[in-house]
Amino acid sequence: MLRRLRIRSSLQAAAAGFIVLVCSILLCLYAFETWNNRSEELERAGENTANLAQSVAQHAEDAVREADGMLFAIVERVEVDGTTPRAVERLHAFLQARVNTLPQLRTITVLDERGDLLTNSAAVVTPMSYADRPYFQYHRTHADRRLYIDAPVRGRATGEMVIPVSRRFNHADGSFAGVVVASLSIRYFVNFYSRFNIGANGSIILASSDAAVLLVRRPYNEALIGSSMLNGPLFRDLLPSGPSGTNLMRNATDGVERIGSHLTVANYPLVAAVALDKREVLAAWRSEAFYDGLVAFLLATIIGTLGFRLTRQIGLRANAEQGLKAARAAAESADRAKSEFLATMSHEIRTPMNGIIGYADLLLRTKLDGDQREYADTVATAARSLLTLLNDVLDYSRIEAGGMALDNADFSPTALVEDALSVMRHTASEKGLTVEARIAPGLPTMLVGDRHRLRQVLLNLLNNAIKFTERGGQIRMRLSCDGEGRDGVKLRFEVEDTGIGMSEEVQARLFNRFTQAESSTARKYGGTGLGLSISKRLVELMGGTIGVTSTPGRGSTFWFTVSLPRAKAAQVPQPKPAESASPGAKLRILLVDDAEMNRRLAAIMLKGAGHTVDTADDGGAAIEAVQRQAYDLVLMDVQMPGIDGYEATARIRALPGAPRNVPIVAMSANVLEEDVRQCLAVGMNDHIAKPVERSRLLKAVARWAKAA
Amino acid sequence: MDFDDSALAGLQEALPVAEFRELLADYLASMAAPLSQALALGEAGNWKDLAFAAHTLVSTSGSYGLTRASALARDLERACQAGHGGEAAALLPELVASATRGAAALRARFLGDRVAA
Repeated sequence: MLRRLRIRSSLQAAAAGFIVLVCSILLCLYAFETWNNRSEELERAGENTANLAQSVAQHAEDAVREADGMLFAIVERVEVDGTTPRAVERLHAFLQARVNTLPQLRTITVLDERGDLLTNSAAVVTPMSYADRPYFQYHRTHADRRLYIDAPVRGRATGEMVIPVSRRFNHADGSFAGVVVASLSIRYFVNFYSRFNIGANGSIILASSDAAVLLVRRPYNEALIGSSMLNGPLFRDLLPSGPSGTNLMRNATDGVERIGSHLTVANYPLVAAVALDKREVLAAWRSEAFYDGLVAFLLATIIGTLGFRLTRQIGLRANAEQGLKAARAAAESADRAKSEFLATMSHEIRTPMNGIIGYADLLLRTKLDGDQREYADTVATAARSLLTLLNDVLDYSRIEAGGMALDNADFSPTALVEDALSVMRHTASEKGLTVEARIAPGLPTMLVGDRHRLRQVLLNLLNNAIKFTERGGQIRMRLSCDGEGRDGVKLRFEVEDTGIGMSEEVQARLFNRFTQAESSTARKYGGTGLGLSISKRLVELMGGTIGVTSTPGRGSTFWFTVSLPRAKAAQVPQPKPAESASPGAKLRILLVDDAEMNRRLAAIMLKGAGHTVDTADDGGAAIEAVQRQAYDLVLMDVQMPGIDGYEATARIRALPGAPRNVPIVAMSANVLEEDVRQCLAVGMNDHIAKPVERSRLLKAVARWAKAA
Repeated sequence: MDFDDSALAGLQEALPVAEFRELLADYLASMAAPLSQALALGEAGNWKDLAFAAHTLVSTSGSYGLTRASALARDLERACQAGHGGEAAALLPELVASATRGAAALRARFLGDRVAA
């Protein structure tokens, strides 16, 4: 039991472990894939921001280069033409003509060396000073002639926020002569940046590396334009590390974590930076991850559920198997209990029933008045019916339950018929019937079969024949051979009577259980109607067939056939002296006696002395028993119906092998010297007189005890 | 003497009380049938079968202490074997009566029942 429980537990644990493993692998795969996707998504976002920064930088470079080209042209013109009124007038016309050629350009302004306006691209030139502008201060103090990009300012002429891009021009001696300024429209950049999909929280920045200020920003916030970026992460952390890069940074102002790329424009002091909100970047991934996670979870749940059910099924199957085994054990136990019950019933009821029948019969043989006789007769008849019914029901129950096993052994078919006849002859003669047997010549001497069951069928047929045949009638019993095939010799038994007979209709249902010819028949003749049904089952159990031919009013012939193998040829006995005695040894003894109360009494005495005892109720059973089991001693009654003690002994001595050497002690009420001599003559080894006395029996047995 | 308890005394000591009583009760229940059968065979003049029945009564009666019935059964058997029908017919009622008395004595001795007057 414990071992089965362990196997079941380990099986369930293995199944549960496997399921957990599968679910774990599934979830790990999901986690790995999801994390991988996230990394790829961030990587792609980084690539996007780098590309966007590249675009922004390229756009800014182009815009500035075009404006710078214009500035170059103006610087050359001023330096060649000078700043005479006539030259300034021509310059003004030139500026007006060129200012609209670039969409990013709002105004072009030319300042003299004091910062006063020389001319500009406006239609009307209003004198004013730009001496305070940082770009003017820069150029006036720096001899280099490079392009300077200043912080955005609101244009004095247009009122629009612009980015001043400027160059200085010199006198012929190289001294500072003034500044040419191109004002680039911030709106121009903002419009361009608006084309990019950077999400709600993404940003695009264009900054001046000269002034470290913000030039353009999306989302556009004018308050921030021109603000210093020196303390921001771009100028403080990123640019010192390199001119370009991609990073993940959290903005201190709005707290948003962003993936950003920055790029320094190659030929101009500009920096472009694009950043995307990490949450927005990962929004699609998060959604996908959620659904993937949901699928993984569902899969794990399904697998887990199925696995749980599988585990449970394993457990249930194991339980079912266990239950099945328990049920089988219970059934077997119930079967054993039933067999024991049947055996007990057989003994417990038969014995008192025999008592009732016996004493009722004795009572009937005493002087009784009419009523007393009728009552006693009723008791005896009812008790006989009850005993017959009991025997039939017990037999039928055994057959129905499959508990009727054949006990095949060597037997003499001739002796079987004689035995059956001897049992029934008295009953027949009491009824005034003549009974005779005809045994066909040439039948095998010994066959192998269950002689008890064959005898039971024969007795049943004979009993029916006696029952349904009126006084003066005849009963014939025939035994013949119907040929010999692979199954052995086919015996045909027939019981013919001159009784009441029966119609074909009755014959057709005669072998069904609880069937008698007619209800009036049952009333008149008694019986349970089980006898023929039992006979049919027994014959079929032996592989044979049973049937009847009958004519109403003239009689019936019941017959059955069985095929039985021949017994192996018996060898001529070589009698051996009995083995040496050893008093006190415990023997295995076969006790043979046809009288049940004698068997019981002797068995109790022998068992009480420590011996093991098997019993047999006639000579045939004894012959079979010694071939099945090795015995130390056989106690053999002499006078028995059928095969008596003499014949049984002779046959045992004729058996091949060890069984023929078993010591046999006669146990008989025939006590004359000639009786004892006859016992020894047939092969018996000793003789004990009946009635059996305990001390005498045990002493006799002790004489034949083998050395322990 | 119809009943001699010495045949059963040793057995009584060797067996549990319940088993011993059951054995005797079963014997008393079973002894009527062969007696009745013997009477029927005698009435029918079936001396051969009566000899067989008497032979069985010799051992069973004697084994359970019904010594006189056992002896009468042996006489009956011999009479039948000899074909002395008259002797057999005379022995039969004596046998039944002795067995009946012996059974009553056995019952009284070992089963505690009162002997019928």
